[in-house]
Amino acid sequence: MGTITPIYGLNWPVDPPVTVIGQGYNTAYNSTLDLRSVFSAIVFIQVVNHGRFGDPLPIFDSGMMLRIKRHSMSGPTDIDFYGRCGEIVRYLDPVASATTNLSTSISVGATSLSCVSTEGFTPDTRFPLESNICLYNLYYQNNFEILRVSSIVGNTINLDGYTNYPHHVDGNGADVIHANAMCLDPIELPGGSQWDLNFICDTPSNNVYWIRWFAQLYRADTYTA
Amino acid sequence: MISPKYTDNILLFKNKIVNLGGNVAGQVFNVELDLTTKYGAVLFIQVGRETTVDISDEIQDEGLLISIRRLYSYSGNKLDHPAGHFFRMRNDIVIMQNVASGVIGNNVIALTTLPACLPGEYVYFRGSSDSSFTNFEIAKVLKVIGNNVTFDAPLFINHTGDVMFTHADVLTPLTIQGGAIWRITFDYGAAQLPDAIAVVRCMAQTYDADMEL
Repeated sequence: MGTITPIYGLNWPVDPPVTVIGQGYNTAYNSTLDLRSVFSAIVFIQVVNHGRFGDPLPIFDSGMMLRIKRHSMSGPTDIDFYGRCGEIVRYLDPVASATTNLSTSISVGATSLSCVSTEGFTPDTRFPLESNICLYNLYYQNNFEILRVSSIVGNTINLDGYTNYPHHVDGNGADVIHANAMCLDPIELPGGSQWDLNFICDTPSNNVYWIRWFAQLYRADTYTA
Repeated sequence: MISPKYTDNILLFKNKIVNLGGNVAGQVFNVELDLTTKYGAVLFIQVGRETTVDISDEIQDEGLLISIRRLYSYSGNKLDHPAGHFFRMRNDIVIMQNVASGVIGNNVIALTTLPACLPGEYVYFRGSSDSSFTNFEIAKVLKVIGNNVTFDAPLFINHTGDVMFTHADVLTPLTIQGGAIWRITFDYGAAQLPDAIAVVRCMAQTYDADMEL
């Protein structure tokens, strides 16, 4: 009498942690997820309006169009038959995001952030998007994460969870904190094909979106006698 | 033949207090459920609330927020993705009443005063000075006559001498997929009042494997 259990390919980093698009008109970023030999995948997508470098109050005149398209097993066909039939579309509104900086370095596991200012940040709203923030440091490049604000007291942001990376205030600058960080509900994609992920926007020059996406794969079942 | 194998009665937390009026640290509580080697799970959540004043207008008309989030990781770090299932509990004036008689196995109790609850709502019991909430039980009101309250099922705990609160909440069981760690968060945000708490209980049943018969 044997036992069958699932095998997941956890936390598959498909691309570098953060991809930047939007520094120009008609910019797009495309990536492919190969699910031809797995049962399914759960895809996590995070998008942050970084704003316009050097402009504290950026005006966004384009949101982000996200298209997830299923291919034939060998790839896209000329007429994109599968893609147009199996297309998942999300439009992310062009929400300008408040920005501030950390005022004190923090380590992994911190539940609150000391900031230079909290103006424009919103705690614990009905709509999760509004109370999500992004922390990132362009110098360190590897500490991008999105967290949710529980409450704000003065210039302190209290989280409903905890940080998973250290965040810095040092000679390389202070980590940036953005409001309105967008986390899409995880999307389940069935296996048996390749999928395209297309991020498309048309922004004024130097407006920037940060994108991060990951997939958790349901690879196989294993049999133990 | 293949049949599924489940694990029952996984207690994620029992009678955890989320402090609606105390310090910041008391207003958020997290627990994680590891489904990285399982097919899935069903979550069960109950919320009893205690407050003697209406706190709805003071915090943007918002009550306790329950979020159930699937985590992911990168380079060994377990990362948050605040999206998915969010449930906002209502905020009303909750009324506490004393139980004159409430016997285990019966579905009728007698209060010392006229009941404030209404048919169809959930109520929550605890001992009158029960700081560990060992008598925590939630029941659904079927009928109210005089000082008596009839429930839709017999009680599992003896509540004679206990207290009963109106406006408890029971979430519809939620099925979640395997392949990740899930985080269940209870968050009230900023503190406003000194005497309000929520008592929450969360359990799970997991779908672990399939068995060859």
